[in-house]
Amino acid sequence: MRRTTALAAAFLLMLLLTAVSLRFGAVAVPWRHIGETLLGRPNPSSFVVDKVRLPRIATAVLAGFGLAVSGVILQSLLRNPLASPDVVGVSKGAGFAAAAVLFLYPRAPAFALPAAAFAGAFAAFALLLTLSRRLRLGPAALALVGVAVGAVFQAGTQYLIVRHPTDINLALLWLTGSLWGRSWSHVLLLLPWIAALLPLAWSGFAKLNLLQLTDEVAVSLGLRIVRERLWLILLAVALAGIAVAAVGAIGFVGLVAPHMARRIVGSRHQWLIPLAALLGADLMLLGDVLGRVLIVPREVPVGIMSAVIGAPYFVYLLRKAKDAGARGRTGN
Amino acid sequence: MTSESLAEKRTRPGRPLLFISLSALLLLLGIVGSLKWGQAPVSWHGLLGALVGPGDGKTDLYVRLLRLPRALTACMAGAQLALAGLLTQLATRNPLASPHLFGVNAGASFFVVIGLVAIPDFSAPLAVGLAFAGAAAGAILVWSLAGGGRFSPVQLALAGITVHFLLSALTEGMMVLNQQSTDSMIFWLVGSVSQASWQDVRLLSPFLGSSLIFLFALLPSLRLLAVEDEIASGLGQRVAAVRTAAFVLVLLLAGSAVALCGPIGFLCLIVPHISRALVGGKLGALVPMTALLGGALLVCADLASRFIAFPFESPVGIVTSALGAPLFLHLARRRGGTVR
Amino acid sequence: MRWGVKKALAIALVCLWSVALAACGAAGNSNSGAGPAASSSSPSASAPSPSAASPQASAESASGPITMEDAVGTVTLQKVPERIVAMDFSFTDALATLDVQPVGIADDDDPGLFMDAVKSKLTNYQSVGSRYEPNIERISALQPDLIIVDINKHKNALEQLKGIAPLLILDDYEADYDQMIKNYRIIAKAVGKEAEGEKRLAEHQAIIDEAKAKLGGAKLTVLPAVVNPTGFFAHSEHSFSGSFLAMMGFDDPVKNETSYPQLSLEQLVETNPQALFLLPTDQKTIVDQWESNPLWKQIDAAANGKVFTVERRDWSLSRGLLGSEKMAADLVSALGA
Repeated sequence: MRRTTALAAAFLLMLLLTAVSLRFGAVAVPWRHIGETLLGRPNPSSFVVDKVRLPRIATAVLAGFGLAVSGVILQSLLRNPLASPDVVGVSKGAGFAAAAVLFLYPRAPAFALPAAAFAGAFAAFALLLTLSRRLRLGPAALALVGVAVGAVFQAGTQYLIVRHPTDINLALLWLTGSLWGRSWSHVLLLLPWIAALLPLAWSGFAKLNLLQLTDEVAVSLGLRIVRERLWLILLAVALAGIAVAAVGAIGFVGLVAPHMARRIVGSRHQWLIPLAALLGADLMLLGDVLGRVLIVPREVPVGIMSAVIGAPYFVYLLRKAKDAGARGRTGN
Repeated sequence: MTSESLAEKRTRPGRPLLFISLSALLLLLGIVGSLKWGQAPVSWHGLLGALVGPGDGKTDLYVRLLRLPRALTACMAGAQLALAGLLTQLATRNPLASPHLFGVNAGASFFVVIGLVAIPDFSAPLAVGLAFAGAAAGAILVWSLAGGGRFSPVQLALAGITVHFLLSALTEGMMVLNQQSTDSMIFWLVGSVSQASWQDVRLLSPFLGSSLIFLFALLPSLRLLAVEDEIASGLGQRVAAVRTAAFVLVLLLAGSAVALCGPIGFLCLIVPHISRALVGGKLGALVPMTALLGGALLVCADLASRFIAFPFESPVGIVTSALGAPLFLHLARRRGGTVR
Repeated sequence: MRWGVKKALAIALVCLWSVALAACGAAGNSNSGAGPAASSSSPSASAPSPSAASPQASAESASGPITMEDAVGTVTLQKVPERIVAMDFSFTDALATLDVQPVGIADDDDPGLFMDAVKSKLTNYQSVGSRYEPNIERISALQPDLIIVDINKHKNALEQLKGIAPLLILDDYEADYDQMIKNYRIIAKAVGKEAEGEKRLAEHQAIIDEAKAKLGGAKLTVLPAVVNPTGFFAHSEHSFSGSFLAMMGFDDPVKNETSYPQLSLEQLVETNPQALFLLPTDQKTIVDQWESNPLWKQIDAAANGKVFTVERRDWSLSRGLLGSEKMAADLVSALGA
């Protein structure tokens, strides 16, 4: 019952944040205009609502889904609470590829950036697989190799940045993650992927429930560990890669949303995956709307806002867990 | 921890000594190389003259005022970061751990960036002070979040990564919102010893000296950190005290190094791993090995950094990653049986 | 299996939400594909009659459509634009010399970044935020009839911006002096002031020639550099200020393909410029430390007292005619006979 309530609450929060995002921003848009735009009637605000805010919201939600679910899968597979698309090097690979396009091919058309980012994510993943294959894709090995692969890509990104100091800001905005200028074409880029991958990820919940235990348990329950792991990591990488391609290398959502969800519904993935996805979307939406209204006419990138909002909550969860742990000990 | 006991069994008595002297040799060669090669050509004869004679031609000044303090700073910072990494990994028993988990790098970066934005006559010595304060603030934040000396490794890791993400996000936010001074911030953030002067050497050496004394005094107790939590809780108070001490040490070592050179992250992560693979898990050999290898690696990386985009410098942090990561991967693969 | 049903329900709900959002987006798309087009075409449809009567149009030959080539193709404007949004300082510099008041400027929300000569000409504009991510909502609320953007910085938002107003896409990114002059001509044509633009360019050339004469053909190696607390960034002849110095007849001591290489003290001594122009970003910079090093005096510029401090907003941000003229004046006052 509690789980259903949590899911419903997260979903309602998403709807509420969608409404708030449509209403507030640099330009005042009355509710009436929003309604008219949604019904397809022309009005003075239809451009802002339909061409600016709606695609931003949709991109935020879809990217939030992707990042959060990717984080859930990676944390369970690697059995490491620090795991996130960042840690296995996927975001860093995407970041490097994007920085290369930004710096080395400044005249490339706009679509080259997400394409390169997605390719970069998979390049990092391919490297990760090749290097950790002999280690049977064990959790510690994946984490170690991921950190190393990520470090190499990050070094490359930093090298590009310091060699091209004029474009630092451009690259920095992308590496932070931003929803500025995201239009319906970004939504159309994200939607088919997320729509296909999310159900696939969810259908793997039973395997994830087993794989987050020890290898021995998983094997004795009849799981072909290496193959299952490969498939699930592939899913996680695709989800993170497509989200990062659309919104830039947002790090915190993939880390914090799964943890929030885990604290609320526990670690059974049939509940964990949808709740984490919804919380990831909530976090993105909240970050975006705050970023848009805080320092008008400028914007705070969503990557920063989502971390600023998410981290204190995460800290609170940690403290609560610690207190609960302390109570448990004294109780014993 | 099984890997460690295995490594100890395999290690022959002469082996640690051999590797320790090899890294000392590498360090020496690296320092000589750093003095010899740079943007301006310096002949061997000129190098010798600069070191012994009181001349003040351009070459003498390059060697004495720029290259020598730079090599010494790299050596000290490398040793400090490697030791800090070793202590972090011991204290958290997490192979992913490095001082940035203690919030040191992110705290230092955050304070420096605030300084760059808020203080109009911001200067380099002030940056060092701010960075150290930031490193301490980040570490104390992580410390209190993780519940003082009684933290479990997982809690500490979680608290650390959270603080790291939060502070990094705030730092990036400051940078994105103050685009006019982004350049100065980003160059601080990648980490480099290229601007080191004698003043930096004077600032860093007391930190290294006092930390080393502290560390050797602590050495016998550090073994407690390797014990599993269930057993350790029986020892209770003692483990908490040792963890606190290790924590203070990490702050001293990494805080001062990061304050002067900026965050050079990968070194802390990989040097302890390599050292352990070479000389085994006995702390008596591991600690000097880690320190020497860290120093040697940073000096050599700094030397290499001058030639990546010659004649221009590249930040040394980039080189440490590029050199260190493949090595690290190789070690991880060779010990495939034990790293699972 | 009760959870299975609920879960399926929840998933279905989420999918429904996404589809609904996409659908209403698509629906909004189709009708407001007519929306902005209608709103932007209504002024231009009603434009001929008022603009024929307006003094602006009668003063200019541009009573018909204006056509020019920008960095990506041909742009056609139905009438002389009156509400212009400029997305970088160089565009603002150009508009200021043409006495055109932009309604919106991406100025990073900090008017202190304009050079004085530009700021004094701006009367009433609205900031549209960062130059990298200008506020699209604010721009649309200004109802501009021309937006001047950079081909690289703003390429991710071209699709959205096109829905607001016609775009003039210029190659401002890493433009050198010659490219800036080319862009100036395009902007002058776009605002219907081609003749004034040419006249202003002639004046500019006169100012530059006069400065050159005052400098007396001094053949020096001159290095402009942005200095901040952590680094020294030389501007080579591939940068804007470097290309301007080359045009003025000075030599670039760096001689490298890189536009903005970072130099260490050792390398600066080796580069050995005969004059240094420092563009500090902060009150205290790395040069304050270097000055106490005996090596600093080994640089010709320092030994001969030819190290000058100039303003970064003049030399490196404005990047237009006014900026260039200020640079010429700075050069004359520093190095002129």
